Amino acid sequence: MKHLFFGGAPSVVEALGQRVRSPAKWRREGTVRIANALVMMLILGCLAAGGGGSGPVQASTELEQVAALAPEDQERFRTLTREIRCLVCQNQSIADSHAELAQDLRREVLERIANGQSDAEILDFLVTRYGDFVLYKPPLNQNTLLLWAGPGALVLLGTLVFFRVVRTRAAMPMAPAVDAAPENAQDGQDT
Amino acid sequence: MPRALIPALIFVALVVFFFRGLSLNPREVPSPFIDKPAPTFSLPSLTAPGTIVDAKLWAGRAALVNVWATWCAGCLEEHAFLVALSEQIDLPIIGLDWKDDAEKARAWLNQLGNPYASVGFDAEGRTAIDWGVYGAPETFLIGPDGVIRHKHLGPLTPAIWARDFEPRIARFNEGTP
Repeated sequence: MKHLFFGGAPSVVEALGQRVRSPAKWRREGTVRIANALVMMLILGCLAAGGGGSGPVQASTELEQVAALAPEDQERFRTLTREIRCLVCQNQSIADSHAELAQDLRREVLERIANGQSDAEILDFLVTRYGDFVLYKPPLNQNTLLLWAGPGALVLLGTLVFFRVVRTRAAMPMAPAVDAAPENAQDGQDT
Repeated sequence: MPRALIPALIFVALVVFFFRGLSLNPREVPSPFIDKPAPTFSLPSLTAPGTIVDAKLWAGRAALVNVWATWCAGCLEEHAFLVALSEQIDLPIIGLDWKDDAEKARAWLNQLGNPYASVGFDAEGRTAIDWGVYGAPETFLIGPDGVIRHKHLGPLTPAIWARDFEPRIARFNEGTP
């Protein structure tokens, strides 16, 4: 995705220029370019929310910096940035987002990896500043207990209710109806 | 027959939760800094080149720290109110100019008025990250004890000021933060 975006930037500027000059030519450019332009507009919208400025330029130096890391550190960088939420584009991780804040946070992660900090130290740095919300995987604590335990508790509750219903129905005397659907008759008695 | 009511009750409870959810703003992420000491702040001054803006400037006093930038539409929206506010209140408003163009920022203050006691220029956004800033404008209220007591996201308005800031400042003056 990233590479598409970087490649997209100049072509969009070009394409938008052509659109003004000759609409017919714009139409012939094909749908790829239009899709490209739409994607860029979305990103620009997001950038406007997070800050102005020179996204792609910074990001290319970021790519070089990542490439300079040891392979296992590159992998850590990719994993960590996928686990951290961009608070500007909230449904994107900082790995996916082009908001300025996401770029700054990636820079923080990168520098901390380069300085030999552990994953826990880096995540802790971000959590003390932005709260648990920056983590896509929320930690288990008092606030998130219901979140973590809730689904299991519901499955358990559902299972208990299911067996109770099955057992009470099994214990009921058969309905006297001879021909049609005895279950329906029982359903009627149940309530 | 109370049993038949159980699904209805569950339904009503869900409706209540979902209805509440409609009026919650997911952008308002609670700051983990509330009631914690303000992070360090030491930046080159925007308005007085060569000097440093840091927390010593307001040590022992309540202060506002306002995050702004010329690229931020909400900042333009609140600016006139900040200017008016700076003339009414006796706590200093410290500006944090976030990832901005220094020339444009100085022109902005010359043109629209300068409500700030001092403005730190955060070119790389590192201080902003230290303060957990993720959008502009944001305004922090710092107590005389150097503890952050409130954070407001988005443009300040007289109504928000009266509702969220004035009562807290009144408590500072009573000596009970």
